Amino acid sequence: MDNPKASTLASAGKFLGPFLPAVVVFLVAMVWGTLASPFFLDIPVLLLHSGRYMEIGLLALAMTLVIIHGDIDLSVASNLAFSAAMLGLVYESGASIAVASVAAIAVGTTLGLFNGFLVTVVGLPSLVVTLGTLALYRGMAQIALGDQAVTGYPDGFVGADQNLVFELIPLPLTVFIVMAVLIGFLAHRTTFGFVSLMLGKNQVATMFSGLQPKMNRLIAFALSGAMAGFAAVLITARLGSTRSNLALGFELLVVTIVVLGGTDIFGGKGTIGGTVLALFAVIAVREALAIQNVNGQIQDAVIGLILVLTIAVPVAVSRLFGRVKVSRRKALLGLEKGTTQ
Amino acid sequence: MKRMKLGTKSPRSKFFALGASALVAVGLVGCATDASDSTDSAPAEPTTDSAEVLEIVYIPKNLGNPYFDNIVAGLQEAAPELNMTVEVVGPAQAGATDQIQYIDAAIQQQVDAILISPNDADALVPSLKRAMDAGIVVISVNSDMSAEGRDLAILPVDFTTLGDFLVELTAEVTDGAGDFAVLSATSTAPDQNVWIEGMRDVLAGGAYPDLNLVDVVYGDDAPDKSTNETNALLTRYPDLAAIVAPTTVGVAAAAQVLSASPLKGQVQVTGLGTPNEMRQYIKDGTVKAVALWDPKAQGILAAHLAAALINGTFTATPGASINVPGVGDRVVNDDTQVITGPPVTFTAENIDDFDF
Repeated sequence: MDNPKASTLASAGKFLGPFLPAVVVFLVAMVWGTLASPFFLDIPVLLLHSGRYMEIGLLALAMTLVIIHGDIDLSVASNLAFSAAMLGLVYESGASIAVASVAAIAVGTTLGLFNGFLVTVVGLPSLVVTLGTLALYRGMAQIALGDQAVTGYPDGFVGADQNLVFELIPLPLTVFIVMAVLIGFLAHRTTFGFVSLMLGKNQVATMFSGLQPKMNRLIAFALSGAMAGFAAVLITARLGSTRSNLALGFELLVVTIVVLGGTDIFGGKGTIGGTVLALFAVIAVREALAIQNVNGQIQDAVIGLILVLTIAVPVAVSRLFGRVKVSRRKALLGLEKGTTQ
Repeated sequence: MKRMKLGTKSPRSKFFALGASALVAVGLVGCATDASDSTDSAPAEPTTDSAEVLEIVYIPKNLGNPYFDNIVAGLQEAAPELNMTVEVVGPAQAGATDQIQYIDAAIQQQVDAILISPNDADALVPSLKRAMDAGIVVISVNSDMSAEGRDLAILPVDFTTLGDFLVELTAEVTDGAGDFAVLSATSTAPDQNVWIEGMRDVLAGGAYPDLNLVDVVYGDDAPDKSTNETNALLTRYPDLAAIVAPTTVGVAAAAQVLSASPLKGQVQVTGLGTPNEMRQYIKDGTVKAVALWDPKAQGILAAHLAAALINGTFTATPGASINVPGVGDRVVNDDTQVITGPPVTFTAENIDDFDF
């Protein structure tokens, strides 16, 4: 308090705390990749490669909101696949690619709303609902497309992911940044976001506070679906083809990134900024491993280890300093009792 | 710029500040090493070590599949005489898009050739086109893909005749009569789907009036899923005469289920399997016959074709021919494919002659 520098330092530390694991992982991976391969640190190439992860990134943004509420949406990847299937079928039926893309986003949002309806209006647990729709939406995609692929998308659309904004930032990354800013604003600068956090911390208390928590959760699920629709458009442009097995298993990668970004899996705590950082940390790790020809299984294992460590290390550290904290808390409690009585 | 202003105007907008500082950090790291990077790579490009040692990357469908290990063995056998280094990288799962990361990394490493067993006929095309634009030779090994995504395809066998061959094999083990089901790999595996279509065509032709294809199930080339699908087939079709698995993982899983089942001998298992995996089931009487080509020969052929294409001594145009030691003379067909050879049927009599 006497030393303003110390207090700003402390508040900076407090602010950075939840982001620290992702930042450390990102920096270590970048340095390590650079040392390991002369080909690694080519910023335009790395930015271009990041496009591959932006579908997961978009899903993770909305998933952060869903998880902050204390819910989960496991159906995102299946929703993406069905939205992409609809994009393909609408385009095949003769509509323009723009119309087909809008249709995909609309379909994704609708499927997200359906999840939200079952969770908030019917009152079913989101884990069960979206576990069901994970299978349902994937099955619908398979029925829609069968074993066939939709191909023959127009040239300007296929490879659109290689277009650069400001001659540096690839289109998928640009879309992601815009969405991150919008959803970040929603989560951290609006009443909606405030209610979200309260809801995750204590649902019962929030319901008695005269707010509209149901609406909040419904919007989060709809947003999750909308992101699946956007991701469907991005992935179709990137691959130039659509199959029903698109994005298989993406939901686990999405949840991993959200948790890695410091969002509490039980809700009530989390930031969009953390998710963004975690996404880039995962990209850096994967790219640093890929350039060294490290196989898929080992890459998955490394990401898994990082996830466990980022959760375990802070807990271990707080246990280590636990005694101090407990005694402090006791002192504080005693003080409060003293003042209220 | 607008974003920066927003960030500085509102002291509370930590979110923007964080994003901006992260960008700055990335930028700094980028600048710091951009300089050293360009001096590093400048001599690397013109010296072209690669003119002496050919660097090739092979990307199998997924790892831990013994079939692809044999292709690797063939590549490695041929590599020393061709002055070639072979890197093998691949995804954990055979998902449609899981191989793209490795294609991008190979382009970044400026390898001479990418050999790939594609998981999807279309989804890899944009990435592989970028590789070809960068002057990298791209060969699709073991199954074909959209021709615009590769220079050349190496097929293990004439796929157009494989449907006939599998039906013939099924007729052989079932004495030409009964219901049978197909246990395939993934539902989108391009090669398996062509073969199953071929089988349907042969059956529709009427040459085998007493053979009925009752179901096609997908074990995704995963042993546990293939085992479950086999058990499900046995429950669903009590009168099943045979399970035909045109994938090595599937046929081994089906044979393993039946070797421990009371239906052993009653329900036949056949399809495409490696001798080493199927030896015990052929010897214990679960399986009468399975077939396969020699994936190792495919690897040898792939290494020689890659080297010839890189060195410019061979072009991937229809009619071009090449002599490959240990394989023979091979000609590029009208679909710019090279076919390795005919399938080999393994029975109790000849299985000990093979080791792969």
